[in-house]
Amino acid sequence: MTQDDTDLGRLGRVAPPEHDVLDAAREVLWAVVAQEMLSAGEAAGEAGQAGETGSRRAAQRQKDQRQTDQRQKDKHQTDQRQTDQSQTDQRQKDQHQTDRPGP
Amino acid sequence: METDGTLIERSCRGRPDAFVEVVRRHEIAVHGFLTRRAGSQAAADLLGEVWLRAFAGRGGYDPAHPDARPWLYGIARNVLRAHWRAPRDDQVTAPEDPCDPWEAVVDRLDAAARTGRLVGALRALPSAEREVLLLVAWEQLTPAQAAAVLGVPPGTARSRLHRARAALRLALALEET
Repeated sequence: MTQDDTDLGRLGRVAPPEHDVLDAAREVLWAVVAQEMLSAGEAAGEAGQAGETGSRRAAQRQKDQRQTDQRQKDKHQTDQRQTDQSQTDQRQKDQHQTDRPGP
Repeated sequence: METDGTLIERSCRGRPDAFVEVVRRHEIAVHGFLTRRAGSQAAADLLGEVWLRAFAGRGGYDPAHPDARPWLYGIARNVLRAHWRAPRDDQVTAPEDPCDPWEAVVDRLDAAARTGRLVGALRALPSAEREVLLLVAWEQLTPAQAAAVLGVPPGTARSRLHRARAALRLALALEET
């Protein structure tokens, strides 16, 4: 810093700004900052909603899968019961024929 | 204390309000920068525009730079250039060089300063040299920071500053003889 710089510095001295000038400029900025925060919040909300929808879909898929599994299981059991019944009937029929006195 | 770079980076990553702290740190200095070059009324009008441009452009800020002041001065300088270029009702004729409103600056100095030798010597400087000199003398920047404001290599800013100081010394010495 030279003497000339010091003199120049004196030449460029200005009064400090009024607080309301700074506040007004900051308000302009805050409006944009708030807008961005709001947009970010909405985006996060939509993402959350999408996540919720996804979870609901996943839960529904699990439920559907469980129902399908249950239906297949029931069907299998029904088939099995029918098969068992048929076999039992056949055995009873055979037994009946065996027990019948010969001619 | 967090650096300006850290705050600006955070403001880009989901916390835009962190940028307001950067503004609080530099608002008086940036207002002074504008006032010295355009007067207090224009400074009051343009300060918000500086913050808006800075906020919009913060994604391009290198967070490795801890002090955002030179960057903000660079934005303020661009805002001033746009302000000087814009046609105004009170402006009868456009200034010859809209980026060098030195005459307007001189008009705002008080009468005693206006007649001073220093102002005469400053007026005689090429605008590019005067700009570096005033960034160092008025804004207390280093030559490297002044270079960042002007978007020139640091070596260029240093040589301009050197030439400006030499010319100023010579002009003042000639006036004394």
